[in-house]
Amino acid sequence: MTEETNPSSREMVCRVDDNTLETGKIPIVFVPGVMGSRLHFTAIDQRWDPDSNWAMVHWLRVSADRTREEFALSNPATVMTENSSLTQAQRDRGWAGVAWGFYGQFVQDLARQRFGRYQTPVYVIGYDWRQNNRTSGDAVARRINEILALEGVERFILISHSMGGLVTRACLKNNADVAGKLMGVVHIAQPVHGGVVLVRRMFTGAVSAEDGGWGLSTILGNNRKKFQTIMSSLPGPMQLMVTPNYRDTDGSWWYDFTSFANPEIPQRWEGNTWDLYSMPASPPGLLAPAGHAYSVDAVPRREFARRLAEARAYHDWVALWKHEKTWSIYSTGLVTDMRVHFDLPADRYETHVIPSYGEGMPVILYTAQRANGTEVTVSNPDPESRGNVLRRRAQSDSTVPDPSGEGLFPGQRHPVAIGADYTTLKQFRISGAAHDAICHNANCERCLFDILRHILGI
Amino acid sequence: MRHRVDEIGFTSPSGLADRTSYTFRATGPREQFDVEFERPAGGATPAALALAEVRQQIVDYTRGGFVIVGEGEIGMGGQPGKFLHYQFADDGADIQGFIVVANLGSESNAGDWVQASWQLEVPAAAVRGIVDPVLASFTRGSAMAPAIGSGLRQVGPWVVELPARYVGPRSFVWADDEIEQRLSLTVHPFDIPKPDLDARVAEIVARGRTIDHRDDVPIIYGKLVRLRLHDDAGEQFFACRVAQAYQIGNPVRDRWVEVGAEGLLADEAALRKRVDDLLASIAVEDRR
Repeated sequence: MTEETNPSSREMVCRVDDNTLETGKIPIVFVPGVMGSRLHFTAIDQRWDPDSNWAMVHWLRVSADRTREEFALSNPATVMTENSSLTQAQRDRGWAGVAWGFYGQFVQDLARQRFGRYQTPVYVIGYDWRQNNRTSGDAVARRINEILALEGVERFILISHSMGGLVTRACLKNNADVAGKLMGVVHIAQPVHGGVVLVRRMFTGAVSAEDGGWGLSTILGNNRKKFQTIMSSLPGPMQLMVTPNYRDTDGSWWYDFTSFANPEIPQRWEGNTWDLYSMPASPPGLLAPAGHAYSVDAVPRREFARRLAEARAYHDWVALWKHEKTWSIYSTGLVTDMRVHFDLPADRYETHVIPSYGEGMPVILYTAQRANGTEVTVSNPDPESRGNVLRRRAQSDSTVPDPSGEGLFPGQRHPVAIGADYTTLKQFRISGAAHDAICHNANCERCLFDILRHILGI
Repeated sequence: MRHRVDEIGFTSPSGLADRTSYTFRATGPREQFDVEFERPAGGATPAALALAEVRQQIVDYTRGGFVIVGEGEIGMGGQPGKFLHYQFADDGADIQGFIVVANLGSESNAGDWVQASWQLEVPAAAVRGIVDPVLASFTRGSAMAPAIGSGLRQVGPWVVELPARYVGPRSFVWADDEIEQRLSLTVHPFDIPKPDLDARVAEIVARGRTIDHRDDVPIIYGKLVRLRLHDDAGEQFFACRVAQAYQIGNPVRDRWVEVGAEGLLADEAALRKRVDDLLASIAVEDRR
């Protein structure tokens, strides 16, 4: 880039890589991930505010069904604007709209960063993460237009984290006027093909030892029924389910099982994932048959089916579309679910009641037969998880498996290198940065800021 | 069930479940009192089991960040219950959390649990002095809203006595998820401007629904908007938004009341009747 001083106004202008002259103010807009925006549910006067233990206790106390009712989109919510630790100017730029404990350091680092003589005011767009990501994308587009009008400029840069990537891609695909003003977008840790862990939780709920993160997963339900009940009210998060494009790192299919009859024969449920999720048999269908001990009630069952249909429609529409000025950063080296496997229980079993001697309770045993005639005793013939077996490896950021994180530029796994040729290198992989902390990871910030310098032509 | 917020009385719609968030708050040292009812109704889950689930959620979420101060048996509305007392830090202060669950039942489901909970910015030793009188006051609610100035508060089918400093909900929600109908009513404080119904309509559209037809109907001291909408899946909906002012006091001040309703378009007639009935039940009741 070359810089020239405008002799008449003494304002700095910058020559950018498409050889046009720009005034020196470029807003940088950050769009956070799922559950990262602070929401005020106005009709019930409750808050989703991960920065406040006081507020979050509400979600720990109430039942899954109550959470479903309160998360339902018919219950209006607005993005919060109050945060006494921020200045008025920072609040005006939307900083109070995101959970500060997750994003505060990153937003401040970004705001402190200097890009030549450009002014790069940092805006944050919190959004109602419950709703369809396409709807959120339109909301983000409206806010970007407001920001551009407020700043009196025609160009901007976007940064997204996690589900914010699905939102921003929808924003840019569905709003050509906004997309036309974009200088570049950098997606961080975007689950392009979804998260396998979400499918697994459909059978286990959030498991304390495995599903850490922000602890927020706990609120989404710590067993299968609760998890599905709550997810039935959340169109946006449901769009994080594994899409038909996902494969494990070796290119293999990810949804597999062994039957009780023939445990030595590996088998797979293949096909369009949205069809698989909707099948009446569970697994591969997600919902246990109506009336089953683990099945959700009628209303969440109906809503769950709607959410699946919306998720399918969203992904069929957005597919792998990306803006032409897109870059991506993701992290690897941490453990998460890479595939979903079941050692299925027997279809039929026999119950044996063995009376105890003395005053003890009778003992109940279940036996079932393998195809080879072997009789096996099982303790629980109908487990809630349907025999789910964790298949976790250190090839993720602890939430997004590598093949999903690199979904926009398959095979591009470039190491961070300051001054890289960003016209051809579009995707960068860092190691050891956890999904919920990747934005303010030092290596991620180095990479991001260098991409921003390239976008700005510095 | 008759309710009152400030001078405004209204009758909850029959046939819909009460989905109001019964949260009462006081400032100064922060205090919050909440009442939850069993969902889904009719489960009659034992109090001990219901509280154990909450306890597990708290432990999992906070990973030891919350300290369990005590747990055991306690009375509520004359019935035995279980309590959990915990402590956590928030905004630099130590907060006491106190949850009580008892199988008090509801209007139609004997044995369902009722959960009363507090968050209190007070020393741990002060908690029972606040909690115990409220627990003892739980009684089946009367059909008449408690008078202004009374410490009695309507909480679903129950009446409890709270200190005067506690401010209760201003919004009430009723719903039937099976038929997808939802009504809400909000009594606004004096100091808010006239509610913007266009903004309310925009909120519906922002959820991905498209307006097929809109009726703007002037009503006495207010306005009513009826909408027919559809979503991307082709489902059709009816929605209604109302803002109406009630003249209070001398000199007269406007108290704005908002009503909202949503349901399937096929049930438009029934939903419109529910809205009409709710509006007709609203009255200024300034007895003290």
